[in-house]
Amino acid sequence: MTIRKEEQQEKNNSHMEKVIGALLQNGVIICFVIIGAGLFIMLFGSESQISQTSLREILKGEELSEFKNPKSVEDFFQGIFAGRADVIIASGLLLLISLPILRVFVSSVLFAFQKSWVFCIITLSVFLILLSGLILGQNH
Amino acid sequence: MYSNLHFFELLLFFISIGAGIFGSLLGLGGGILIVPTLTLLFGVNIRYAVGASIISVIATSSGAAAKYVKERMANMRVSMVLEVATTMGALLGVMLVPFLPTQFLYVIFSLLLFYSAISMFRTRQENSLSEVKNDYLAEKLKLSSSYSEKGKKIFYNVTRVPYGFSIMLGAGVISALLGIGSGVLKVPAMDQTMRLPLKVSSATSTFMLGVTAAASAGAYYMRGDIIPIIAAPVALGVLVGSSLGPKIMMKTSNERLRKIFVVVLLFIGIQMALKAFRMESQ
Repeated sequence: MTIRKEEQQEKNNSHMEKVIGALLQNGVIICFVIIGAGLFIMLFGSESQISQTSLREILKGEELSEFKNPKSVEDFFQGIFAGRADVIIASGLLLLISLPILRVFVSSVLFAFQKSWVFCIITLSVFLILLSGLILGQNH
Repeated sequence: MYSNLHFFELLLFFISIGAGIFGSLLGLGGGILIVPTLTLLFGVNIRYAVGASIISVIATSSGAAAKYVKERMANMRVSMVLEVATTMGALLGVMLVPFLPTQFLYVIFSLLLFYSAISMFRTRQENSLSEVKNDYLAEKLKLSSSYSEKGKKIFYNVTRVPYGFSIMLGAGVISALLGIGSGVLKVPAMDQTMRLPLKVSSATSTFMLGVTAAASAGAYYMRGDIIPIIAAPVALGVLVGSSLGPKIMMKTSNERLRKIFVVVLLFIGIQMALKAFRMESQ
């Protein structure tokens, strides 16, 4: 009986590892392609958005206004369709940031399927703490 | 034809590969390399440097995690339990910011690092794994596991889970308050307190780091601290580097990893002590 239980546990573990591993692996590759494409356009596109002289000022943070990050869904769609390098890069970066949060959520769902309720609650609470942190951060 | 910009992006890309390797190998995330490089070498605004460092931590974590999970180097169950503590600690830290004196925290932090360095240096022998017995929680949550080294399966148990949990809570608070990646506290806590093998501690820390960093990354993005021109080459380089880190870890020994780690702990400890000292003289 206990051996059966351990076998099931082992099966569950390796299933979890496969799914989480694949999620992160594919997610990272997609991010790499998006950010890489954006950077390529920025560096080799027909109209480079950055003149040589202003690089120093940008790095020093003196031209903050020129690099407003896109924030709304609208900003993203408009920017991406216009082929704007900074918006493409920003969307790749946001996807990269959301990967770990997505990973926590997916593992919580998987634990629920496996009926491992303790770990389902553990991962769900991590997910909720992350969300409340995001909301708190917006109000700051 | 090729401008300063091309040169800057290329150089930053290669430096970030190094940061990704280093960060994923030690479980530190690589921020400790990115911030000084950007500020000292390129004169980048500290806000952008910290923004890029957050991106590098997340990229390190996700880039290496897939491999660490597949090879069973990272203990997912341990990491999920401890993530509750680090994220809660980070949230607590954000709320505590107005009340705690930063200088005092730097002193505490550097003392903690020196203490960790000494205790990690003293446990050079790695052959005591079999003496570790699961505590109540580790048994209940089935935290013990195994990893393979040179084709051999090495089983290990996990102990003092409540202590480890409390330290992670503190690590979360400190990293939120000082903006420092908490890997330097996480790895010693898992290695020394919970008695996980060092490789497992580093890999598990790497796996966890992304979650802690992602919690604050949203706010940094909204504030405009994460700018494409700096974050893009960092993300790409770190993703390449962090796919190499796990391969190196498979080939290195716990002992060698420990030596590197002790040196890094001392180095960051001195850095933090100097920071506190400089604040004093201002």
